[in-house]
Amino acid sequence: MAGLRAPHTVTYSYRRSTGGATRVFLAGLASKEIWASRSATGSIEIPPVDWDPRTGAATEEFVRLGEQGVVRSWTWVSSPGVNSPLPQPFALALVQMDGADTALLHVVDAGDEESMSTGMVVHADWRAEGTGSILDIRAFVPGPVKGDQVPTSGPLDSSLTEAAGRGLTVDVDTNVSIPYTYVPGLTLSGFLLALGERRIDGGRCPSCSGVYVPPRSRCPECRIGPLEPVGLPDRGSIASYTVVHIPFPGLTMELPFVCAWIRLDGADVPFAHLVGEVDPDDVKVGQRVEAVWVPDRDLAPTWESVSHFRPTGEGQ
Amino acid sequence: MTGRCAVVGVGQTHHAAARRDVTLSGLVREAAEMALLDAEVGWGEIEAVVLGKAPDILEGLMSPELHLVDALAAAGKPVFRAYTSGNAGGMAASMGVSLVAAGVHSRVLVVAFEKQSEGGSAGATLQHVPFEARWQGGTGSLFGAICREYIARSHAPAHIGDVAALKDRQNALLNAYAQVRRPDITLEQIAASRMLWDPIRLLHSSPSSDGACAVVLGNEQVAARYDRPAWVHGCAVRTEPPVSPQHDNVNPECGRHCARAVYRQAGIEDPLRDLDVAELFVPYSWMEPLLLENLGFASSGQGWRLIDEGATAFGGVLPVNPSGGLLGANPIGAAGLVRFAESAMQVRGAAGLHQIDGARLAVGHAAGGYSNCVAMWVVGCDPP
Amino acid sequence: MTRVGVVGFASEVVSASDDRNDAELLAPVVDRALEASRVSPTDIEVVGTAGSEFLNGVVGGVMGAFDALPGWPPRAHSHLEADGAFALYESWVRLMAGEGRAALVCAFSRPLAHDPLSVLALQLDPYLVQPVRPDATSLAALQARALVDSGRYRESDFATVVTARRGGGDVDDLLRDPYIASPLRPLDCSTVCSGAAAMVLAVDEVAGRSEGRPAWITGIGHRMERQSLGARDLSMSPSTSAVSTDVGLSGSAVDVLEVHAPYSHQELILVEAMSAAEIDRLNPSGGALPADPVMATGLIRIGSAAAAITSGQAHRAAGHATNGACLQHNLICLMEADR
Repeated sequence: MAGLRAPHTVTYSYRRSTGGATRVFLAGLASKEIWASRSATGSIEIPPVDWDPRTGAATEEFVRLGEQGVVRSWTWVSSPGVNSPLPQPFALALVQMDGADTALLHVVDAGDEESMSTGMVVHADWRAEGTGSILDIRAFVPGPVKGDQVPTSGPLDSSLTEAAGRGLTVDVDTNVSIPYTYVPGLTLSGFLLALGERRIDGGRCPSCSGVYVPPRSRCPECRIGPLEPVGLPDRGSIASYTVVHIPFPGLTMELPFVCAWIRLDGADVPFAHLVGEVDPDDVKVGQRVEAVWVPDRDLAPTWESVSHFRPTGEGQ
Repeated sequence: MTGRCAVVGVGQTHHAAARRDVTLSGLVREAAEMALLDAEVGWGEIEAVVLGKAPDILEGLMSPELHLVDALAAAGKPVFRAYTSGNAGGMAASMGVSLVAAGVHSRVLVVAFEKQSEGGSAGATLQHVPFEARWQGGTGSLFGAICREYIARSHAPAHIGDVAALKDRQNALLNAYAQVRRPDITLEQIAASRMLWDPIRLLHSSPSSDGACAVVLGNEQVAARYDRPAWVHGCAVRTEPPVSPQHDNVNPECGRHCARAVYRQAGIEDPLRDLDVAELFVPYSWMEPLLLENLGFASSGQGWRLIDEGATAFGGVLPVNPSGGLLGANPIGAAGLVRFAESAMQVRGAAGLHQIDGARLAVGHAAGGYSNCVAMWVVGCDPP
Repeated sequence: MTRVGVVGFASEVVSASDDRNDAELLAPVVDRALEASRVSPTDIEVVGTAGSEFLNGVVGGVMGAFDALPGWPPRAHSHLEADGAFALYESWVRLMAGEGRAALVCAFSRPLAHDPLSVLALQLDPYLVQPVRPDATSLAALQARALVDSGRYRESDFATVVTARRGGGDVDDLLRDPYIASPLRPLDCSTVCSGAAAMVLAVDEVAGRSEGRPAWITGIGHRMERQSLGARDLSMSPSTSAVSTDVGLSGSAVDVLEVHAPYSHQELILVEAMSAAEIDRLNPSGGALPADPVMATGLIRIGSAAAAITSGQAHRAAGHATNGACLQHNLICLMEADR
């Protein structure tokens, strides 16, 4: 039997606050300045760090570097993706800024692969308006920097002050959207397909006789599988419940609503579902409930084929 | 356990709703530096690091240990990431103890953190999965149902959740590191606070927090140099299937099993009598009575009486969460380690204003998953 | 002194079109490993599992895999977002600490992301590196170029690794393929797939029950380097050299060495860093290139090395695992049979 699969895109957004050396570096970039850190042993590190990575000792001071460096290693990105920093083919490279003992990962807008070589001189090409991002350097470009190499900068605070003055928070945003293919597996696929046919199928462990709904490929207690298919009635009892009063992303029904763990007749474990057509105050543990299916035309291999459960009125 | 292990240093951040003054590195560094200072050791004396953290998705950084290695002066060292679930902080402590007990390392730094303000932690875990129902209420709903079921079984009176919450919130006032400290908190305010997942109300609930915690663990030779190390008398972790006929969300066997194992290691016969302090993982105050039963402090259906009688209050026979517990701060992946660390602070006499007088034996507890993952330790001021 | 041996190992790799879920993939593999070890599920007191929610796409979804494990009564079970090799390390530590007499170590991998390598980019520095959006292959290529620039190896050496691991091919033909990210070519990069692996560890007398002879773990360790690629000499792997010395591999002879190298040039770096005096067979399993179930690959390298011992084909064997761009974090497990 072929299993079900479905596309599933997960979207995440993070706003990352900065501090210490990272903040110094990014605020500096917003002012078109490149800052590095000097450790107690005298090594100059870019990107700057707050602490010596080996000894843990605090950084001695931050030092401003020029805009020129040397390519230490590179590769060619011939098919930039939609999220790439440059639309045209470019080199991803490690650029050792003059005066630094380490290299910065960035891109070189070289035009073509033949123009790239280890050891070539490059310099920073800035975006017009910096926001406090590594991409305030639009890219490195081949050749030495024109004009003065030695920066005539103010004290370290200047870029931080300027950044603050412009209202830059120097946060780093991460927005990720990752497409997946969701594969529920063979056992669950069988269960979902049955839901699409208005059936609830459980699975019984041949060893302990525990009946699981939804069925699993192995009994979690005995580790034995496959479980024997067993058709279950679409009614049962409330094992536990809560009344939800606060909204969550994607909420479509009215608050408050009842979320219950329901044990179908014949099943040994409950599953979570909605209980509707009842005043939340009238819900009880042990209450008899039955499934309310969606109209036949809306049935599909999904838990949503059952719209909700409602009290049967039995035993009242 | 084979070799002996002791806590020789503890550190934690000032937990907050959002620590916008630091990067992830800055957050873990703050706790780690404090622990090293407390232990009076330098970075070079730490042989290995264990980093605990809850799902990577809470910060959107996969394998965060790879990024945090510099902040922990750990380049060139073994750095191990502990996880499992929400009990990550406890799992990290457990791995640290095992490394020392096995004789692999003599001095280990255990760090746990969460900087969940940067993403919507609820949103991240509530992304709709294909074929599932769209209305999933999230972990809050599960806890609501568990607490409601406890009430149904035990007939605990409605004020128990309020009393337990008041206790933790008043204790938090004595904890300089707690995030939520409301000096004017009253029982009436708690009882009237907004209902979230019945019976859990807003003021029964832990906040969302950014925070980190660190402990330095040493072997017997290392511990011998300290006046008051916190000796690990027992440490265990247990997991069980989240869905099975025998899985009981309200009184899970994994908790009972873990507690029995830890008490046996520590020579504890009657935890209520033998332990002086308990730091338990209580994200919603209604969980306290059922945990008291699950971990052997009260028999089935009687946990709420301990709260009602004031036995778990700051001045009671078994103070529970003198630090304020999770209601004071809940940086998810770190919260378990904070419980372990607070129990160690108590027996070292280092808990400041929330010190329980004469505390000599304490338990730390962390839980996660669907009531199916737990970690515990017992620490004491005497060697085991 | 407690000795811990590998007494059972099984694995399966499948394509992304396989319709099984984590538990369905893992369960038969666990069955085979347990059977070979002759350790009963009730004797398994420690469980270590590894998977990746980021690669798999569902937070908490990994719990579904646990149906494949001995779950009742409750036992010590640690789950990691890491390669299974680290779950092995933890289980070994726990057995050495006296927390049990037998352990089950599992890894399951279903990289269902359409572009698994882009997910691995989420391991990188989120402030200064992720915004530049480098992909895993481009980063590996920086390392490959550093290796060529060092003068120690050439692209033809990469191609030689490819022909050896992918079961054939001609070096000159391979060198005519266009680059995917210079100086790497498509076949220099591992083929990501799904898979599962299970390994049984046992102490002393429990280990003696197994079908094959135990592969006693004589040394296991790991070390991490800095994350910043610009702060490292990418053509070397000092963490691997240090671990190799830690575990007793450096300067010694092994019959089988299994190296976790998702890129061909990395095998050259790693083998050099380990500086074994003699290697009879290198990556006889094929290594990671032909089949890379990310987060299970390292455990499979170690398991393959162990299997060579348990089946009598080797006396002394080592397996390696790595995590993080350009070999940032490395683990080695060295094993030996009794004479």
